[in-house]
Amino acid sequence: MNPAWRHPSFRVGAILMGLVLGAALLSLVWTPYDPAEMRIMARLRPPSAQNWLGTDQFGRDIASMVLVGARNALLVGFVAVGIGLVFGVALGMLAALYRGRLIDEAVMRALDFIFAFPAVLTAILILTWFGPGLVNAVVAIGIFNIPVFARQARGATLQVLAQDYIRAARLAGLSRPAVMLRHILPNITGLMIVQGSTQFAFAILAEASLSYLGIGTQPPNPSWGRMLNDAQTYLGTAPHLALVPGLAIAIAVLAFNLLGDGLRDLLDPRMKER
Amino acid sequence: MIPLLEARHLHHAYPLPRQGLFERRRRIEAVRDVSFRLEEGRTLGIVGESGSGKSTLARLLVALEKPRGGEVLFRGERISGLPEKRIRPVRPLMQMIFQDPFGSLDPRMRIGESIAEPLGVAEPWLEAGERAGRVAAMLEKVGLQPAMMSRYPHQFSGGQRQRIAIARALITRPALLVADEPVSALDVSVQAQILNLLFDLKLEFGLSLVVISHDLAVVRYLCDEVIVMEGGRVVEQAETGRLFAAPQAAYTRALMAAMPLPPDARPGTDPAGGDISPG
Repeated sequence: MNPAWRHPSFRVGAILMGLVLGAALLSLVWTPYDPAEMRIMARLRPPSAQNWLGTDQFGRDIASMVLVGARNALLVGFVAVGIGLVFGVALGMLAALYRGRLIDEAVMRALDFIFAFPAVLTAILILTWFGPGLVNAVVAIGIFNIPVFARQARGATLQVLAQDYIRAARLAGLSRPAVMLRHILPNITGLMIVQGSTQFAFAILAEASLSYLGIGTQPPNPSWGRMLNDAQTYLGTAPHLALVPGLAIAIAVLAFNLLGDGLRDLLDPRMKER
Repeated sequence: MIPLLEARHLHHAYPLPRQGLFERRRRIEAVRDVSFRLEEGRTLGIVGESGSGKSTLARLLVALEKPRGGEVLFRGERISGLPEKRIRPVRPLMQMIFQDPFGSLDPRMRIGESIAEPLGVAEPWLEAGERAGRVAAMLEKVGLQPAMMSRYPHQFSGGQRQRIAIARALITRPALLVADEPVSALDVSVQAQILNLLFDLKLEFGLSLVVISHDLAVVRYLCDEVIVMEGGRVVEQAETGRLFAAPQAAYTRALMAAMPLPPDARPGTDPAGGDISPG
């Protein structure tokens, strides 16, 4: 059996992520109903054989909306983490390479500045300035991922830089960029993946928060955060409206957090038993 | 004759972390006024306790660090204090092996790739097949099987890794090899094998060696000439035979007294006289 599979966090995380991923992929080819189709006659129905998870206040099928919402959540996660990863790792490695010099201080203090603001609060600010919408929301979340990755990358790079194999590479005559690409990047990738999965969870949650506030994903595009927003008016009469997207968010966030936990252990060289 | 390697009044210091925002930055002097010449084909030992500046000196010699004062000459040309680009042409000619065989190989790189890395820079025109052939031949020279080149470092023991590091250092046929504590991280049973290997390869490749060690026995076995360092300074410099027969500096005698040998086998003592506490 694959040793990764024996790790409980990794296993549960992988299963849950498979669930979310499966839902997103399924929604590309099939949903029980058109998620945007309104049937006023069938509004606020509890779960039944026709509508597995019930219908909302416009009679839209909740199961279909949750499936399509998974797609949205994953898209947000990938793009936001991608932005943070690319810029963060590049800046972090740069800072580490010029450790203690002006460029290091300038980069890290600028990132501290971003880090000092509460992420979601500032995202709200950005979105009110540039206008609400999914793209702006994702970019805003991505920007807040940059300092997180940059700090991790800087620390990890410094650790690798102190190793003798970096000295050996310099003795081999490798240029700085070559040392970075051949030796440093491969050796910090594991850590970045771990951080990435945690940030993925954060991104999904942040998008849900922004959409809940009405400044993220715009209707009629389904988003778990939006669904929660719609649901709150009917919390007394139709609690399943809030329960379903809430559970979906919880599962997705849990999936990536557990996956991150598992990966951290599995990628730790001390855990390697070969 | 121009010596292969020459150090002239080398100084180096490391900055200590600032104590406070307005405090002056203090430095710790690691190497102070070190000068020596190494002729082609000879072996120089540098001994001293940990913290005596040996490893710093090693890095200065191969231009991994820039000295704060003095200069290093390689075949009469200054290599210290130059930008990396200007040093690069000389790199294949001076190589180094490190103390910790677990930290000197990239854990994510197949050892064949690690060994071939200096070749890729020194002789970029080689085709993949030729390069693999060179790596295979080098692996055999250091006592490993060519088939091992596709393995990763964690699949090897400490002694095998040190052999791999030696193969990487010699693949470009350097003139100078600096060995920084080449055996002190290895099991005693493996130490002799690696020392013998170094000795054989030195003869085969016509290498000049700088061997840095805290172990006098290692230096005595390998070196023609020895420098004793204490607190960053050279306290004694002599031919190996002469140094062990008649150590001059008190520090040298103290180091010898600390050698784990029976008293009458200790160098610098007179067995007949029964003097067991020299210095």
